[in-house]
Amino acid sequence: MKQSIYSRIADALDYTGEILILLAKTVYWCKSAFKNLKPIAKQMLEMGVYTLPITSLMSLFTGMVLALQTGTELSKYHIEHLIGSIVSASMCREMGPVLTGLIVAGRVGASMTAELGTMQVSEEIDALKTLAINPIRYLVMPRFLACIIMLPILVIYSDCVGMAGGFIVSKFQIGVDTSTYLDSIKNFLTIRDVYSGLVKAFVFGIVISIISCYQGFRTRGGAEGVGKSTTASVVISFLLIIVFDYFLTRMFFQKS
Amino acid sequence: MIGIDKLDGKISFHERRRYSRLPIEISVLISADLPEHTAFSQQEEKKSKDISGGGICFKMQKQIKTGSLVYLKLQLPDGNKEEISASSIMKWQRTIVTSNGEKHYETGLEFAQIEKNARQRIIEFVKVKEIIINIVDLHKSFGDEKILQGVNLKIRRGETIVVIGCSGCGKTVLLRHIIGLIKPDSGILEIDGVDIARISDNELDKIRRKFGMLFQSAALLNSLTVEENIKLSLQEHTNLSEEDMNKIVKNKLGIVGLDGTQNLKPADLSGGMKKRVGLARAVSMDPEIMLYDEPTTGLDPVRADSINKLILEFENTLNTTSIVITHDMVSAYQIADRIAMLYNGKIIQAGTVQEIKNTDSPVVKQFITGSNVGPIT
Repeated sequence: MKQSIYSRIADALDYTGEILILLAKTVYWCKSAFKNLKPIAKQMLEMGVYTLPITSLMSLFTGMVLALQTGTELSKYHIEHLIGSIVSASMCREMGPVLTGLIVAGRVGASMTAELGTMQVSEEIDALKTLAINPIRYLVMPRFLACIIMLPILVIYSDCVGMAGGFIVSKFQIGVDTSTYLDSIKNFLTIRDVYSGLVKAFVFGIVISIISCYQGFRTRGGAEGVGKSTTASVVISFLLIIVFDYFLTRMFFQKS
Repeated sequence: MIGIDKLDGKISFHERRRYSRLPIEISVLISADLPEHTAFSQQEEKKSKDISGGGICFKMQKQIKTGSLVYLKLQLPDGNKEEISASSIMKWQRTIVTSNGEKHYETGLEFAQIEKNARQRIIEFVKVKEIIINIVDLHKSFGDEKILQGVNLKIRRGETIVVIGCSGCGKTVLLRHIIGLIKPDSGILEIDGVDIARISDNELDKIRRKFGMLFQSAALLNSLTVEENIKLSLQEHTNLSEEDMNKIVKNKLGIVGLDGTQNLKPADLSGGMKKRVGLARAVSMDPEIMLYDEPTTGLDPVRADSINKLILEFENTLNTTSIVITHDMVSAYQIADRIAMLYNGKIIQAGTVQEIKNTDSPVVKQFITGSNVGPIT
């Protein structure tokens, strides 16, 4: 039966409300973080360390493409010495946090949703409740903290690798020497460029962890349900990353 | 004819040389006389005085609730002792504080149905089986589908009650209500006097520590080993050392016959093994109340019998209250103190195994005989 527009709006508000409730409860249970260091560390390893290879590849080629595209155009006006500043600012402000966020949402977020969704349909989460273990404290909080800690670290790593990729193309294809490239970064990259990217990473970490866990908890209907939840988790995370990126960019860089 | 085999709180019933371990409730004449109360100490054995009324007064160490099942020891003319149980209607209770600050309770109980010569022979108050789970007029619907439509059930401490019913009638839904996984639409669900439908999640978690639950699919956490699964509760709720927890794990696995599987993952286990590990996990904290959701479904007869024996063993050793959901009547007859049938969202009959076997209800009769002829469609 076709849902009316009002019913869809009501569903969307319902969903938003439940996400915010899950976020509030997760933040509340962060008080137990020091008693749960082992699971948090395990999640940080999964999210951060095991994501390094794909993050490295993505960041390297992003930096290289940025340098190639901008270097080619800048060469026409003989201002290719600015290439370092453009690559670094782009990586730190946008490409680093957004692409890393998307990678983590696709790899880690999908995995979290699939894992929790499978637990939901096989009654493992109900079993935790019967053992008087709060599922949000046991399952969501470690993932939440791991995400908000590791994503900014991954973004710093991604920015550095991206700048390194930009350097390779600048030196060997555009013809900008090392000192010119590094001076350009030093003179034009600001602290705001860097921390805006880290704030975005922090926000994206919240989005990915909460959306992925929520979708996992609301999974119904066996294997098919797990597949649907995983897809929904990735799509919603991607959309929210782009939406929040816009508003955060406005907040940091729009001239008043 | 009633005889006694053992005086340990369980009653044996002799009838045509058949033995049952079930407690017997005797129903005879209702006394209309006013009670004269005679005080008995719970600790001392005294001869009864002539009691003209239907009441008796006990000095107790703790309060008991109306509707509790009370076990009394009677003196037989041949010098043997006989034990009976009777549902009490509490007449009055007063708290007495002695000069050294000790508190005890004097409780006047009236037994609605106890014959005069039985009252005269009362020599000892043995024990009380209080109501631990009280379900009153429970209703639950999922969308337009009404599952529970006014369930009423009282479960006493230490008893094993088996809930039977057709597939899809709401047995598992009822079980999930009892442990708070589902909240009812209306009605009362009290665990030890606390209505769990109206308390916070933190308070509910405290009540859940009294429970252990065996799921139909065992519901082991697949990312953890057998040992880690059983240790979950111990790590969360106790301050035991790693060594002590390992001992408990070894002990519980030994009870279910799976010692040595500590390092295996659930994926490495068969269905029967998963159920036994699930049972070991459920009893890791020696719970007061055990819930079993179809414990023998999917198992071969040998494994099913071993699960039944484990349920009985836990009841005997830990004195747990057990609620078992099943449609395996062989298991039900083997383990139950009482059997309750859920039909059309209500408990239509609850009674001892004998009462269920001798039922007049056509629905219950059709179900327990497995006939496809009858009111159940």
